[in-house]
Amino acid sequence: MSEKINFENSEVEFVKLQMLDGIDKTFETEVDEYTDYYKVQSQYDMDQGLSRTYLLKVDGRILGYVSIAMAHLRKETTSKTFAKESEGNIPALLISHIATHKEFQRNGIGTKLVDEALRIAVESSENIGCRYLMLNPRDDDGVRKFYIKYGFTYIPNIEDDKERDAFILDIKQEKETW
Amino acid sequence: MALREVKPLDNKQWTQVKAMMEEGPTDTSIATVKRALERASKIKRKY
Repeated sequence: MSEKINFENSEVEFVKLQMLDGIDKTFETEVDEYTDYYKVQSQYDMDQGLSRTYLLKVDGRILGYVSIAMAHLRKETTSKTFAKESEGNIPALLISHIATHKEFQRNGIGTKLVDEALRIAVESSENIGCRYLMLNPRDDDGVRKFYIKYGFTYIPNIEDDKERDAFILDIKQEKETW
Repeated sequence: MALREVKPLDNKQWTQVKAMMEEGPTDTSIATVKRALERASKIKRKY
């Protein structure tokens, strides 16, 4: 059963996970992999410079997180064709992990988390090449519908390999080209 | 490393993405980004 949140009367803020932060052991998501990522792996990845994790806190309680990293969209190549075909990779910001506290589903927290990743992508794109916000979501109809409704374009794998489906959102804001 | 692996795109996916990129952002994607930035601007951040 999800609890309803009144955002108007709550203190809502994003904080960046820090190495010395204690882990909130009460944070649980519906998917163990995502709970474990926050509790076990996220600080290591922060320390190693592999990802940055942003926590959505409501009245001081962590209700969701999003982890992001640099990435690029690239065409699958074999080693023989790599040198020829690796040109043209497209830089993107990857949402590597994103999750909402399981007791607070359907409160719009997922939208806020994606909004924050998108905001960082747009801000970053002023200083580094970054054309898309992207993710490879898990094979869950509800999750995938969420991203399509948000505005992502679904790029299905030709062999129906759900692990290789891509969801991308163009963050470029002007139609004009250089 | 527990970061999710970025899966490479097959030929059809790659063709689709390249075409999208070259066509430029759509009115829909521009509006999506604008709305998201507007929502995000209303949330405090401490970092």
